[in-house]
Amino acid sequence: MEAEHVVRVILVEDQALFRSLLGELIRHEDGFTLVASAESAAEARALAARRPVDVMLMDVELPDGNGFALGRELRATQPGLGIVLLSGHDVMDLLLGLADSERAGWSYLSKTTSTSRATLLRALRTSARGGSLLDPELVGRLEPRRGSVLASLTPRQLSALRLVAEGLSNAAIARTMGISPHSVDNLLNAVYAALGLRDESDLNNRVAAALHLVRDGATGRPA
Amino acid sequence: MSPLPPSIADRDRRDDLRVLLITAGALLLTFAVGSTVQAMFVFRPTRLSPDELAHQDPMVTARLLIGVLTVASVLAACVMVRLHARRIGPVLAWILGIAVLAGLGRHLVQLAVGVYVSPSVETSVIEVASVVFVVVVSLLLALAQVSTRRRLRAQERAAAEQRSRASNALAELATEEMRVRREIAEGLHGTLQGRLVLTETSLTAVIREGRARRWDAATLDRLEGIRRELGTIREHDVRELSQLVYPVGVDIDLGHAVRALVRRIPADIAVSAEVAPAVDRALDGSGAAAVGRRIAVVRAVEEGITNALRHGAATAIRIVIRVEGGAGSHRIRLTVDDDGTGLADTPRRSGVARIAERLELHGGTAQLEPSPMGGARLRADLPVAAGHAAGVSRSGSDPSTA
Repeated sequence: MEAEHVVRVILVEDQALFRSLLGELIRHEDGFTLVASAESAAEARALAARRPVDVMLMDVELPDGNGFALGRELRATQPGLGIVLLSGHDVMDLLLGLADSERAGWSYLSKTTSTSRATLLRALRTSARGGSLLDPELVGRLEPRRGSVLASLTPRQLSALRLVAEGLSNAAIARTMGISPHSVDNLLNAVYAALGLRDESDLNNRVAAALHLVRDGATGRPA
Repeated sequence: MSPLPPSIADRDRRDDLRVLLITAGALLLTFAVGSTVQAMFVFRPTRLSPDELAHQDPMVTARLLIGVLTVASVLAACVMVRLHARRIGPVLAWILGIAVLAGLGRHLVQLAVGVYVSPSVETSVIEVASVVFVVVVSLLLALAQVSTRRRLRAQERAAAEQRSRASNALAELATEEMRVRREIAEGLHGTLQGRLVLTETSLTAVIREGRARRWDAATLDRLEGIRRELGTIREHDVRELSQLVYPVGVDIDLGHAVRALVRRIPADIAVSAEVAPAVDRALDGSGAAAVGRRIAVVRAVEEGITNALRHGAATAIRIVIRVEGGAGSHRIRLTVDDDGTGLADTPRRSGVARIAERLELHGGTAQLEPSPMGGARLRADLPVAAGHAAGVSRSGSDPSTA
C-alpha cells in the first residue's frame, strides 16, 4: 500500500455518547488525528476556519442546522475538504443535490446499518483524497430501476459499479471480483460509457457513477 | 373582549355621532317640513288650491326656514353636548333640555318674525309642546339606532375575535402536531432503529456462538429466522411507519422528499420524477405552515403512487411537479401518471377524496382523470403562498429533472 499521510479529522456529532465513541475510535487509529470535536454547526464552522483539517465527519441532523448544508458551506472556502456524512435517516440522496463541480470528496454512512469501524476509517481516507464512499449496505440494497440506464448494465458491470460506489480502488475491485485489474478497467470503462460519463478525471467518473446508482436505484419491494 | 385601541374607539365614536346626526336630522326635518305643510294645507278652514294658499300665506318660507334652523340648532346642540357618548341618565336630561330650548327658541323666533301675532296662550303652549315632543321622540329614536349599531359592531368584533382565536389555536395545533410527528419519526429512526441494529448484532453473535458450539440445527434456523424478521421490521416496517408519521426529507425540500418516495417504489416499475426548482422555492420555509404544505404535496404524490401500484397494476409511473400560471396567480401543479388499468376502482376515488380534503386546507384541489399514459392521472394543485410568489416570479418556473 502506498505511504499515506495522517488524515486530520474534525468530528461533528450532537449526541454526546456517539461523539465520544467516534472520537475514541479515530484518536486510537494509526494514520488519523482527531483535530477537534464539535456538537453544533456553529462550533464546527468556527473550528474548521482556524484548525488544519482534511475531513469533516458530520452528523446530518445537527441542533442548529444540517451537516450537508454545512459541508457545502465549508467547501466553498476549502474546496479540497473531504466530507463524510453520518445519518440515522434515509438521506443518502442529499448528495444528488450537489453540482458536478462539488461532488468529489463526499461520503455517506448510515447510522442504522451495520457500518463497521473499518468502513468508517476507509470513508475518512477516501474522502480525504477526494474520493467518495457510499454506505456499502445501502448500496448493496439498491436495485436498478426498470427503464433507467442502470437497468441496461450487465450483472458484472452492476457489481463493479456497486464496488466503485463503496469506494473501492480498482485493485480492490479486482481482488473482490477475482478478475485482473485490466479487466476491471475495461468493465468500468463500459459502465462509464453506458452511463454517459466522459470526464477526463477517473475520480470524477467514479463519483458520478456512484451517484447514478443512488439516483436510479430502488430499495422498494414488489408491492 | 379585550379593550379597543384608542384609534378604533375614536372611529367608533365618530361613527356613532354620524348615525345620530343622520337619523335625528332626517326625522326632525321630516317633522319640520311636515308640520309646516300640515299647518298650511290641512288645517285651513276654507277650501282653496295650494297655489292660492301659498300665495295667501307669505309666511310659508319663513315657517320652513325656522323649521330647518330649529333642526340645525338641535343637531348642533347634540354635537356640543356629545349626546352620543353620554350615559342614559344624563342623556335623558340633555334631550329634554335641548327639546325645551328648541321649542321655546322656535316659538320666540316665530313671534319675532310675525308668523304669530299675539297668539293665545293655548296656541303657544301647543307650539312649544309639539316641538318638545317631536325633538324628544326623534332624538330617542336616533339614539336607539346608535345603540343597535353599537351592539352589531360589538357582535361583529366578537365574532372576528373568535375566528382569529380559533385560527391561532389551529396554527398552534398544527405546529405542535408537526413537532410531535417529527419527534416520533426521530424516535423511530434514531432510537428504535438503533436498538434494533444492536439487537440484531447481539443475535448474530449468539448464532455465531451456537454454530461454534454445534447447537441443534433447527434452533439455529429459528434464530436465523428471527434475525431476518428483525431486519425486515427495521428496514421495512419501521421506515414505513416513520414515513407515515412524517415523510422523509420533507424538512429539507420537496425534491428530496419525492426522491425518497420514488426510491421505495419497486425496482421493476419504471419511474420518472421531475420536480422543478421553482417548486422548492415556492414551498420553501421551516415553519409549520410551509412544512404542512410540503407534506400535503408529498401525500398527494404518495397517493398517486399507491393508486398506480395497488389499484392500477402499473408498470410505469411519471411524476411531474411544476409551478404554472402568471404573476399573482402562481399555482403548484402536480401530476402522477401511470400506465395501469385506469379509473374503474372505487378505492382510488376515496383515497383521492382524502388527499383533496387535505389540499383544500391550503386552498388546493385534487382529482383523478384518465392519463395519456393509458392508466390514471392524479392531478393536484396548490396556490403559491403570497410570501413566496415574488421568488417564483423572479426565478421563473422552468422545470428541471429532480
